[in-house]
Amino acid sequence: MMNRPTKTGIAGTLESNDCQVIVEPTKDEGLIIQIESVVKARFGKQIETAVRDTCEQLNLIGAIVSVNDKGALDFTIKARVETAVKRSL
Amino acid sequence: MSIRSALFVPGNSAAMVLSSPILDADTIILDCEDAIAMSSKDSASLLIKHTLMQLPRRQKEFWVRINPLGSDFFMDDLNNILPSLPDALLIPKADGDDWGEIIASIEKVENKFKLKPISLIALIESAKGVLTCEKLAHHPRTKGFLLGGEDFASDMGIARREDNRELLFARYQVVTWAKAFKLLCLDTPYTDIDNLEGFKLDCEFSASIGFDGKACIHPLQAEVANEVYSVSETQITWAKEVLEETKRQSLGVFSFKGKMIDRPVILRAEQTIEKAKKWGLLR
Amino acid sequence: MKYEPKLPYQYIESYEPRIYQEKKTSRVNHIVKKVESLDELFDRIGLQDGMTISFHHHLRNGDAVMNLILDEIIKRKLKDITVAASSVFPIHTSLAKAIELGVVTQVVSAYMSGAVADVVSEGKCLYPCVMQTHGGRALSIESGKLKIDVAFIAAPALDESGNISGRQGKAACGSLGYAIADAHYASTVVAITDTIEPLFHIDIARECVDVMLQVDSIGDPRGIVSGTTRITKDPVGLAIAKRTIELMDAVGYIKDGLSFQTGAGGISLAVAAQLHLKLRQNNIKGSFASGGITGYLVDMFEEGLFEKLYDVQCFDLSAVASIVKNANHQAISASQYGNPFNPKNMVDQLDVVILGASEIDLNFNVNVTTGFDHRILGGSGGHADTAYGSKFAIIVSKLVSSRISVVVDRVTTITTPGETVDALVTDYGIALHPRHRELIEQLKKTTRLPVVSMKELLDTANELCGVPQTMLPKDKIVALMEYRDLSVIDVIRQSEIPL
Repeated sequence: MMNRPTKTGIAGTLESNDCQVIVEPTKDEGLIIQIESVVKARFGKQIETAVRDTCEQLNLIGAIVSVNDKGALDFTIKARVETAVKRSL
Repeated sequence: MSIRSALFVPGNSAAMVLSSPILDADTIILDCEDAIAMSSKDSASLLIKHTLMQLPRRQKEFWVRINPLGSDFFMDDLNNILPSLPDALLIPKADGDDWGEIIASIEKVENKFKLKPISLIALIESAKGVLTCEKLAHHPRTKGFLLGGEDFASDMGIARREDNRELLFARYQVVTWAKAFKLLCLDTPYTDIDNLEGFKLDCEFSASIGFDGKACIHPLQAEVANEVYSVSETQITWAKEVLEETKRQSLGVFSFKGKMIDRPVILRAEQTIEKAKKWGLLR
Repeated sequence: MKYEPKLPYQYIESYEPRIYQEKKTSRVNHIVKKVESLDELFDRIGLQDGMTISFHHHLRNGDAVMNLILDEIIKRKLKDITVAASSVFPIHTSLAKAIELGVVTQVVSAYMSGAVADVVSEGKCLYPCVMQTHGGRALSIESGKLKIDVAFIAAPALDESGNISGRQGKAACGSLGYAIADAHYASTVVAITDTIEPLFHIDIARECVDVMLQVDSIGDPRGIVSGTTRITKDPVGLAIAKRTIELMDAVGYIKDGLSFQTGAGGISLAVAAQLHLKLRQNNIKGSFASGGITGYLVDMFEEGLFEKLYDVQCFDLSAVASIVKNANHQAISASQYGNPFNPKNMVDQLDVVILGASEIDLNFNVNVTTGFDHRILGGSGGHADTAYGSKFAIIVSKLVSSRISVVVDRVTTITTPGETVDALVTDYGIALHPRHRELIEQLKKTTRLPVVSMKELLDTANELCGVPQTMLPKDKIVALMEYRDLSVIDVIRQSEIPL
């Protein structure tokens, strides 16, 4: 079963070692991931992978997922994405 | 389980959760319950889930305090957290009457995910909890007790005192039942984090009546607790000598340095060495 | 390019003492000319295109003198000026502007942050800058390699005859250690003050000074505390500090006569606080603490835990208050502090120094000068000097913060060579330089200290964070890393990443 957001879901904080994730519904079925990070030059790819994997595991479609990362590790990113997705459903 | 200190860490703080494996406590209790606002319960539960799956635990035990039976979050917590394999669950507001129902819910989730039975620690923090210790202790899935003085005092309708005299009965009751059933028993947190002297005195008393360790709410407390509930250098040396002498002796009972050594003494020496090993006190 | 170190770096076990004669002390009947305005000052000193001017940084981020002078230089359309400033702070925006305009074409400094670091990192300065150490700067001036045409000395107070004091006036900053070499060796020395009054202590004698000028304000003394941090309250930082003291104790340095220096980072200060408790508990008296002096060291000194403070710069206002009233709290010059050829330099007498790092690599090389992206964000200051001189140099840091590991495969820029670093203390264990093989075995056998290898720390960091992408810079060299003996230890290339 695919999951499609019906409202905006926000999770996480902008404290260091954490990240804030906002999930918003879109009209089409695509998945848009936007990443801003204090360590983007060093870990941009890993962050993108962590976000995408989590969204796929949650069968998310029709969403813009915006991440504002303050140096969170992968497991924190995954947790914040999952929380924001679940809050958006 | 030999635990001198169990440190509560708020389960929704990414930074604190991240640094928890390197703090001084023997055990980290990631908290979904009292340290977390209602609006963040889902967030904490999921952060703990992902943390436990990925963060190297560095020989520390990681427990999780879930939300109580009857709250909106109890089942979500179990479903999120049990599959990520914490070392134990700390069950709040435990008493003998609800214990069966709580364990049934846990077993349902364990079966669903095909998990091995997890260790359960009962957080005894009500008048009824204190009086129904016996039932909790009897249950084969119970591995330990933790006394929660704050909630107990509110349940009793009494004020907390600096010397914790109001907890005397609860402490003796809980620790004696724990010892009778060979359960781990941890003492109540000490809330004045600036008063490490008072904390130490409190630990010394609780250690003197049999508590194995202390619940802590600040890393500096954990350091003190580790010292108080530990085995001393003298105890370790004595234990080593007793065990060496035991190897040399053929009799079950013998005299060593003017003291009678028999089976219980040898057992205690073995426990001392085991603890010292676990806590990295052997050189 | 006017100042260009060329000798390649090579580790040298000990330096032959060399004495450089101070030139100006014999000018007995010398009179300091008092000028009334900036215009008159510039007319008098005859500053020309291509000259080298210098500044000290005792007013740190509160300094107003460098901007005042550079604004005037820009206005006068001078060209090709070299600025030799002991350190450069974010407040020094006029220097950044002068670099962009081509008015200033080279900067020689021991530390730079803010707008100047940005324009240099972006390759906007015509000639490569030279990043020195505090001790190396003094050596370069005393040995005549770095020739200063005009030294502009922000002087918190002057008397009518032109003597300088750092200890009184509206912007009192205590020691003037970094200005001493400039005062003695620059061709022309200008003292700029906002306070002329009788002095109770002279830090730089009028014999060194050629011209004096009074202005409304030389700066904001509140800026002195900028750049230093408070003691960390983070339990992880505290744990690192405690572990550092345990290490010092295990290696045998917690004993009477201990000499000690610490940087001003949060964890370094926490080490000072823990040392305070330890010395008090064990009733141990140290001989001296040196370097940049903070209130924490003053407290220990006033309690009798150190006999003396040797102060090259006051890091906060309580250090300023102490140097004024305590005879054993003594100002020293940058040369007495860290010039490797100065036979009595203080760093060579240090037992233990506690330092920070933004990167440390498998060879124990330390970078405190650039970020991983090759952008300049600081500099050695006394880092390389004290690591070399001290018997035991300890780097303290959290292993990981905000996904960035302090331990790396290879540092982006070498500030301090690994041969001079002894230990790294982190929250994930203590790594000792492999040359301490016997000590490592001894610590493992007789203590509970978590001794690990640098490689293990790197593996732990990579396990937590993932392996970071490396950033290759552009080809253009924007700065040379000059080691304390004036050899070149590394270069900084232009950053690929725009701000």
